[in-house]
Amino acid sequence: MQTTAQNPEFLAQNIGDFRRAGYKVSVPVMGVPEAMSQQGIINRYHEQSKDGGAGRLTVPEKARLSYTGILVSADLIDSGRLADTVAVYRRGSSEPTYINKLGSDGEWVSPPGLRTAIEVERTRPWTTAESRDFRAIQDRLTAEMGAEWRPRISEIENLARPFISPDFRR
Amino acid sequence: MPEDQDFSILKAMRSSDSWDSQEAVNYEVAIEAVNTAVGAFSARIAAAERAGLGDGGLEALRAGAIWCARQRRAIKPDDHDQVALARRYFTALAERLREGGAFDIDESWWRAG
Repeated sequence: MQTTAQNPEFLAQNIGDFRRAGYKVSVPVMGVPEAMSQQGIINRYHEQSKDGGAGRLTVPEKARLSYTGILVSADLIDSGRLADTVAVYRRGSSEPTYINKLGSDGEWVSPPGLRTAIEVERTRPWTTAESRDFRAIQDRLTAEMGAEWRPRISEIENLARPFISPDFRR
Repeated sequence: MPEDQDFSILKAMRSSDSWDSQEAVNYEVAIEAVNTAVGAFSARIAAAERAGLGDGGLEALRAGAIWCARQRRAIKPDDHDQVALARRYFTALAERLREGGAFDIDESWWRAG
């Protein structure tokens, strides 16, 4: 199943329910900087609007809840040993930047650090490819979306500024 | 980090190891177009049940919804042509269903020009 983490306790309960039902549970988490995440939300809306005249636009408050909720969820998963395996993925790669699993003794094989691994991914400097990718989409959204979107696009620009490569900064 | 078989499904979805944000959004939009078509089938099924439509008509609608779900699993994020075709085909299919129109399934949608 694919889900957001707006309600960490509910998510933890869900994971526990699957394990009690006999499932092996693996939790892959996307470690995505907030600017990229926010840009993805309005880019999806824009693309859907182009296709069918309407799009799904995540409510900012819910996006914020998910963004903070996944960190709380990570703590719950680590401290409660809720999943058999956990991993953090960077957008743009199929290889995890962090992976951990429960051993046969029911303890984490490596010291638990799911929250830290997510935070590291969110706050690291962006690669040139990521910066170029972000810039291209940002410029296209600015050109193609209406003036009413400019404040939101500017907010995303501000979120990106500490992490984006200087060559692609506006 | 070593590859872990628990997450092999993520690997299996792709033929390459790197992708960009636009590719991810295009894929998500394609998947949501299929989901919208499935939802449109569900609405038609509910309306047909309320109207007491015969089993034949209901069966066709249910088969359409199941067919869409199967197509969703076949879409590959890094097959850009297929993703673009999926966006067009399933958006149009959902629109036809919502308007109450015919819903002939085009088994070869991914080869459409």
